Amino acid sequence: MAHQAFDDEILGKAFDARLAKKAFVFVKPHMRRVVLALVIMFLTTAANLTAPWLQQMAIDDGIMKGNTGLLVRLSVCYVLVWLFYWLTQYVQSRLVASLAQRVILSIRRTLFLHIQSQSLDFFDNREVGRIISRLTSDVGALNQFLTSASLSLVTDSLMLVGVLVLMIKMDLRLALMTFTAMPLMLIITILFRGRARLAYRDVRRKVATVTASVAENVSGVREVKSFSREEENLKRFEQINLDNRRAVMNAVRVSAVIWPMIEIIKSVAQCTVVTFGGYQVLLGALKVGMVWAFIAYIDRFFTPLQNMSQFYYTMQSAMAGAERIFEILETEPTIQDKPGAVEMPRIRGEVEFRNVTFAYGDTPILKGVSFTARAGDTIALVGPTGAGKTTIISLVARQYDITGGEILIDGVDIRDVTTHSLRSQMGVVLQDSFLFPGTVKDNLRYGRLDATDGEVEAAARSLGVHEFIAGLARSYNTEIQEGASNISTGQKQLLSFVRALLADPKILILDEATSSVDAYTEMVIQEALRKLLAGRTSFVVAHRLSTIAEADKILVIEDGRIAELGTHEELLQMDGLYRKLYDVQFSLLEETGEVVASPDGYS
Amino acid sequence: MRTIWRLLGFYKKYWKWAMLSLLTMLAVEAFSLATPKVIGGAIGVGVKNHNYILARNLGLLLVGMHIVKAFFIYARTNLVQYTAQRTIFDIRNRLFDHIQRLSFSYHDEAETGQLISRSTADVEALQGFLADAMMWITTNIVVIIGISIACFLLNWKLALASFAPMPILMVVVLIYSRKVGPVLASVQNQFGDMTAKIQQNVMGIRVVKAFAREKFETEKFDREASGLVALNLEAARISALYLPMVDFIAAFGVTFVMGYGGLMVVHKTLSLDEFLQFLMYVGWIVWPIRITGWIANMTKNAVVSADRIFEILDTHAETQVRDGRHEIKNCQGAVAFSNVSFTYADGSRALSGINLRVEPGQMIAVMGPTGSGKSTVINLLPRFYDVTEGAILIDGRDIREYKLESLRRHIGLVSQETFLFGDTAYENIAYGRPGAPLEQVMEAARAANIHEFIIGLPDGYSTKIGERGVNLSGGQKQRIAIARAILMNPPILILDDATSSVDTETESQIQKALNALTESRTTFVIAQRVSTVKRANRIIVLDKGRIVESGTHDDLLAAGGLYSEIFNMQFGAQLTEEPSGTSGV
Repeated sequence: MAHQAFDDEILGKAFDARLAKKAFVFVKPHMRRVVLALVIMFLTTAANLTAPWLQQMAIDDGIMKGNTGLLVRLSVCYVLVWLFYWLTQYVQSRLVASLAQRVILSIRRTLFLHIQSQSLDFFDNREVGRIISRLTSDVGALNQFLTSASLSLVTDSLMLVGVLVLMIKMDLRLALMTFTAMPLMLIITILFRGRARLAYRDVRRKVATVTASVAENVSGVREVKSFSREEENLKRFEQINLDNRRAVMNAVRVSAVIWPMIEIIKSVAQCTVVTFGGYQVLLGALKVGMVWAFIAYIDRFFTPLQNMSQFYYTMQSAMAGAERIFEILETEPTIQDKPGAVEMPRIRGEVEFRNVTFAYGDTPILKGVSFTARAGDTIALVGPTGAGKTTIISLVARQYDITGGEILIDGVDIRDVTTHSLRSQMGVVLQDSFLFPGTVKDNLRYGRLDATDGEVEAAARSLGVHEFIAGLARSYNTEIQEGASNISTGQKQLLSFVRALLADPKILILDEATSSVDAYTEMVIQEALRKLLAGRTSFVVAHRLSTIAEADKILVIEDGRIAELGTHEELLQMDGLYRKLYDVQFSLLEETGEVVASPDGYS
Repeated sequence: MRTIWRLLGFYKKYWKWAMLSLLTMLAVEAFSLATPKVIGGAIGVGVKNHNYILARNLGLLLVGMHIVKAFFIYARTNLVQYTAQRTIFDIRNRLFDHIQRLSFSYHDEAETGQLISRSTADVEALQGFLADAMMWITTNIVVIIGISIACFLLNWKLALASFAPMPILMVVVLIYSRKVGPVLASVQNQFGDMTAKIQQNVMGIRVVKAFAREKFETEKFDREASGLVALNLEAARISALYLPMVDFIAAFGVTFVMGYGGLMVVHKTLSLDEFLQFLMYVGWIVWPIRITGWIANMTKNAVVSADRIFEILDTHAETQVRDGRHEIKNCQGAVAFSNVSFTYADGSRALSGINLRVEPGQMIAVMGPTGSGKSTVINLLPRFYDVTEGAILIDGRDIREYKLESLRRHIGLVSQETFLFGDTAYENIAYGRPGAPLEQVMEAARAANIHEFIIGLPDGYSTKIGERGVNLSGGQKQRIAIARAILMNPPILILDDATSSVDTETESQIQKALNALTESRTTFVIAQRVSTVKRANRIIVLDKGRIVESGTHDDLLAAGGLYSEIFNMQFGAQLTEEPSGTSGV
């Protein structure tokens, strides 16, 4: 599962009706704007198409007949037409922009909300950068397709149809001759389309690699520096970068063929019109101005065709973006409220595991875990790495769903209540205490947004953390930088304790982080922890002897099962796994024991 | 403008390619400029005078011209893109290298998301400018000059009249780019901010979930996303007003040709084919001007992006200027701090007057309350920061006289938080010695007690670990870090002694690994474990950036100062809780 390639490899078909239909949902609420935009576009196109017609009249009826009055009137008309064009174009641009921005906002919002609702396994398997690019570049690509590209497709189609109608009206045979260019264009597009598509697909993949490589080097810059890897990393990056450049050039080579080809076809069409049209004028069937207008219309005929071949690429990258977006939108959160899930009543704090099993993917983690905790109990979990301790505590907050058995809180199966009502009554303190950029105060309030400054400070004081915070540069208003790089690990932990306390959870889940702090901080942490745990049901993956010894119940977990269960004294007397674990740790402390007993007794 | 010149500086290396591109551009436009002459002649002379043969021949000439032109267009696109891609390639490499050479304090302050978006999205924006905008700017200049010459040669009076709206057009384009520029800059900034918000959210998702704060987060995100929308709409409003205005003003030119030129034809002072040529030339001139808006847009974007890129490139890479000349040879590992003081860029003083002499192979434990300057001491040694006063000496020489790379290769660092790269287990361990033989990597892994775990992975040492691969626990990560350091075999070691998040058995494994690592190296350790502290040859106790105590464990305990206070607080508590009589192992 961990190896599963995430979805930048999905590059999408050229057009996928299923996807387009799904994507259209985002446009649907704005149909009135769309219709209005279409009407305006029609007017804009009409104005644009009037220009050659006015020129034709100026030549045939004005100049050739020496009618100067008409010439002046037509000139004035010409300016008015373009004034009209300006106005409609202005309205059109603003309409399209507002449409596009509304759609993009609703896609982003939906996607973000959906990502928020995902369970943790979703995040376990995905890189941060890729999730970000779903919300930024992919949304951008999809939006481009849904709004500007499709609307310009409409303008182009209108223009094309308009030109066709006008040409046919002017001279059917000339028009038909011009239209022979269309199949030619089609053949060229089909010939080069496939190759260009593959080439651009490759570019996308290469660009993604470049981005990933940059992101990694920035995130891991401390390692890069301490190991003096700059040269080596640059060497590797240059290779990735070179691959990217080659891919781009390859795509350019293929796609650059199309435009010159169209130029040639256009000139053939114009040649035909001049030659055959000249012949027609000779016969008196056509006028000079008409031939002129025909040439002008050929220009207006090819421009939309060229745009449409561009549209193909926009559409393709949009389809790829859409596919990735919908991949996420269609990933159902693995943890969802049952239909008819009720609010969790106010939790008293009894927790019971009934023969709980859990597998992560195909790997069984828990193999039948049963125990009960009374309200207010502190349950310490100990055992070797990978035994399943962290899993057990994550299950209490329903961060993952169990595979078998039941977890009851106050006798209620946690799957029968809404996750929001469940989690909002629980506190979770993780090993890596993540702090958001923002002030210390904002971070502490995270679990209770309406807490007053006084309440925040009271909470900090009650855990004995106030002095720590007061000692920060700007006390509670200290700005925490990204990655909380201006705050020490110990301070982070203490802040996360206060954050949890302020939320006043009925059940506390704590993955204890130890030792990464200095002795003084350690003492403050132990005190704070003791106060935090008091009076609420707590599950602690414990590393501190003090935490373990004071627990009401210790679960010794081994290989997904509870190997031993009891208090510190009971378990020591059992002389089993706990005893063994205890001795291993104790042996590390033993020397110190001697030191304290006899300060001279070491070498 | 200066930004553009600077950007073009990257072009210089490829001037030959650029000249070749320019030649193809000129060729293409020469054919384009000839086209109205041919068409005008075909209609105005051939068709009008019923000279069918002339019309046909000119038509065929048109096709022939376009076939040749097509080749030049193809060559132009390729050459222009090639030059641009080479330039982008250089900029990317430069930026990548520069970022990784920026100082620690820079990375402390900088937001990762911003750095990433600058080296990806902003570079992409430059690509558009260097390829398309550059080509069109050149082409447009050629076209405008070409058209002007052609028109003035045809009839200077009509040319003057039809070019009359040009100055107004220029002014409009100028106003437009002035107005839209700042808005586009804010759009990019806001986009960066939004990206940063998303990143924070995803990285902190466990906290978000734990506190059931999804709604709050969504609102936060919404504010950023809506801000972006508002700015985009503002940019669109400006463009919607000015860009079609260009068409409108340009239409006056065509109108003058139609009216004034038409009258001239009627009065026989201008021939029909000249009139038609005029109509085509003046109609065509709208094009370069119309895309001026688009080019200006792209250029503005590029300038904003380039400024953001240059901002990074202008930040002095750490010690780039001050890199020493000496290689460290046969490093003994003697370290001395001579009256070292350090003040952070923001003015806060972290260390004052540190004096310390460490013999090769000694272990120094650094202790003290949080914020006392422990981390600063160890950050100064590999020159992550430079001392503000005094000097640090290794083997008797100021570390600033050594080459930075040489210095760091001799100092191993095992920090609290280990970053794993999205690469194989082998690559991660061999990070400090790329290409190290697998045998040695395995040996290091064995010494760090992580070998068994790695060979248990699906592809052993070739298994991808990190974000995109197998997730490792804190203890496993730490042992990878230890293995990295062991493989590098540095004579000086810095250990941020963390045992966070591991159970007691892992803890003992790590402890063994650490013992293997610290053996016979000069070691600085920010000590958390009693056993480590006890093994140290000397303990220095820091408080508010000064050494307040220094000595062995016994000396310090006996002295009854800060050390004994800390010691009793931390370890006394643990020991009193241990039932007596359990000391037998």
